[in-house]
Amino acid sequence: MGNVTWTRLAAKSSSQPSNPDAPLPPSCAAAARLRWSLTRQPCLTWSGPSAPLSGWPSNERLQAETLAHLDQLRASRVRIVETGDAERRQLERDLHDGAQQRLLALSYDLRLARAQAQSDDDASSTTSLLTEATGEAQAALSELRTLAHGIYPAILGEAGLAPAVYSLADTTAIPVEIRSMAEGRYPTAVETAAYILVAEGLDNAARRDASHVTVDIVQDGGWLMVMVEDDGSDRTSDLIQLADRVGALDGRLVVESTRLRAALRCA
Amino acid sequence: MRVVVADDVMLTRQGIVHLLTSAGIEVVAEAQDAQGLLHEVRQARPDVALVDIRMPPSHTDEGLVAAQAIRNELPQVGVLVLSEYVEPSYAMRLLREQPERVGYLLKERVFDIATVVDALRRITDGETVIDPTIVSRLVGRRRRNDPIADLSEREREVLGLIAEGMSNRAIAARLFVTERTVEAHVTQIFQKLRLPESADQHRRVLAVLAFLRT
Repeated sequence: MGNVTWTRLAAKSSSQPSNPDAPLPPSCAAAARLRWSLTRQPCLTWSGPSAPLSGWPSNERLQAETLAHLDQLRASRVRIVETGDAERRQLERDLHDGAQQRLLALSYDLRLARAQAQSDDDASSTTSLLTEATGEAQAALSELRTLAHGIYPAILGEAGLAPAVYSLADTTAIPVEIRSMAEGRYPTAVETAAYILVAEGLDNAARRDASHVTVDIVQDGGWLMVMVEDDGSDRTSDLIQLADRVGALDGRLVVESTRLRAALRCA
Repeated sequence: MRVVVADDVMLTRQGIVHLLTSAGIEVVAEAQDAQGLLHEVRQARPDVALVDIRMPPSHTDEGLVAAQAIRNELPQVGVLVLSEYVEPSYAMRLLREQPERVGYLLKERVFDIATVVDALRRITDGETVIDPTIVSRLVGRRRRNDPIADLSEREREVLGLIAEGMSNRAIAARLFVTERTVEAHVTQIFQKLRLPESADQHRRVLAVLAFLRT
């Protein structure tokens, strides 16, 4: 399936299941509280002497430097995630424009050659060889397409989160109910994180023998809330890479036994 | 039949042109991007424009945007969009934006040139064409309390053909039954799925696709 590469990326995790200590609130009032808790900055204070010693930086300056350093770290975290995604996307494009097109062209040529051979009376062996070659070329093309889709699902970048999630649901072996779906476009990193969360949620539900999965994606003010819930057995992985990705966006991920929830800042 | 072919990759474009030509279709112009396509279509006034969905500059949905531009400016020119991937969302967007004389086929259909020729003819006849792979993926989608499970095998077959854009007459011909029998099936299907029946054929396709998607 197309999402294999992504989910593998998301599912690489440590052995400890996470504790759902702070559930994401469902209501708008609660969402306001959530917003606060998500946007709260770490508070750093200077606990040394109150007056700056000569040659020492002032309390304010230290605090400002530390905060600036934190901002830099956060920015670099976002860059790392974004660079990785951009590279995947480029790789998918290279496959599409390069190898896939060559194979397609080869298939056209084979098809034409076969048609010509068929019109000759004495060319049955050539025809069967060419039929075989056409089949091989199409099989290679199809494999390459699946690989490219796994590296980066083109529909996500091209058409956005909603079509990409519907597409995931179409190809999932268990019934997926999309209860709510934010139809707009969001920053690439947000769409990618939401997509990977859903892909992982569906993939993982199937592995835990779920019979049904629900997906909710709603925008609440400046936040995109994503939830995937299933009726399978308890989850045993805690999705560290997915948590890193969400964290880099200043978002929040809650991993529960049969439910994944994230709040992603989208404005 | 006269067609214009637009694809930014030369090898692919040549392949498509060769196959179309060998099937007796007249390729009157070629283009490698959406702008060139619009220019050629204005000049050549073909019956149908065959358009790759991904073209420069952004390689995303240029083909769909061009389809809309062509249909708005020259309503008598049909558009057949070719896509490398099975994406129902694109097919539905195409139908929502321009329900008539449009089609959406997988690129690999070009190998089966008879299918493409048939699609081109249907488009020039004013029909809609949706790739059977897309339809079967949507019909086969796993659902909870699946209303499609209530359909008989024949009704499911008819549902698929409706979603592919076929008229009752075309469905009758395909299944070797009378048009009246097809009409009866259609009424049954729409009742069972609780869909409003529409005399407008394009609206009917869109309604069925939207139903299958949710």
